[in-house]
Amino acid sequence: MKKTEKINRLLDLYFAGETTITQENELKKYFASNDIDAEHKVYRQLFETFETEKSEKYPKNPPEIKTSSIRKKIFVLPVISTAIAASILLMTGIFQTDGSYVIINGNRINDSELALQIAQAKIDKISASLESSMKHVKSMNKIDKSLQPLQKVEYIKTKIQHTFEKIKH
Amino acid sequence: MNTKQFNNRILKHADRIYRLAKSILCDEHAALDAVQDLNLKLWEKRSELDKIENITGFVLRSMRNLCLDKLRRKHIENELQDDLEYSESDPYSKLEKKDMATQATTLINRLPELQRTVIRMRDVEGFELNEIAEITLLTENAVRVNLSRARQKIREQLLEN
Repeated sequence: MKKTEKINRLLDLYFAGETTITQENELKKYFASNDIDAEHKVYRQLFETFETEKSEKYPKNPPEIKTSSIRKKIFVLPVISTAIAASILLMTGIFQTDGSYVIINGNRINDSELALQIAQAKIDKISASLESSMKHVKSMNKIDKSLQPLQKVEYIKTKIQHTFEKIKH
Repeated sequence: MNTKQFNNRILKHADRIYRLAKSILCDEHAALDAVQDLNLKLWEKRSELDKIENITGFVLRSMRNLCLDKLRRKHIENELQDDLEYSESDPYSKLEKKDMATQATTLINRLPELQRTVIRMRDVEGFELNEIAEITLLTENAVRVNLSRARQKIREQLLEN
């Protein structure tokens, strides 16, 4: 069988979805060569595209992106709360770094990217809880402020008493 | 599954799941996001992963499901945006512009999601039909039909141009 005829038959089988992996590899090899029949050139780009896409890699250092599962915004004191959260993690031993790996919950994680994601998620969780705790502190401050006039009552009372005593004398 | 096993059995599929996510979502950044989402979810459930026999199939199936969920959410968001008379450019045309895509890439990206997933799993990743069936939860015959339809559409359009 002539080469052109053979390729035509393989192409018909291919487009009908009836080729085996071996036959498809034969087509890929043919289209990667420089000896392509004129009538087949129209398909060359398709097979080249498959090869190009196959070589596409997940980037080693993916750009910083907001992962939906850890997309939590810290509204109060963002830098300080993150620093506090990191300090707590370091103090409690939840998150320990040592060179090229990270230990999280007692597990050594060598993949720095994954480790950072997990650490970030933990920091976010703690920041979120700190944030809610800060709300209580803020409420306490508000109460304290509203109680300030009452605290002055005692001072005024003492002043009046002093004035009375002065008058008596 | 410990960290080493997780690295060897899960993270080694990063390239494949990234390509799959990019094919389904037609958006590079959304695909990167999806890979991180999936890795994080799998890490959290790593103790259960030992029970899975075909881990490659499981990881790719999980990635496809995650991407389809994202597309569904996006679709709902777009519907809401349409109500507000706001329109965003078509994700396919965005991808085409960004990648300076070849004509063939454009034709593949314009196929329905299932057909472009099937054709890429076969022609880019080199999976057997039964493996694609396991990932897409279709029968082997349904995979063959989708593959054939996808390839025939591309052939027709290549010959038209």
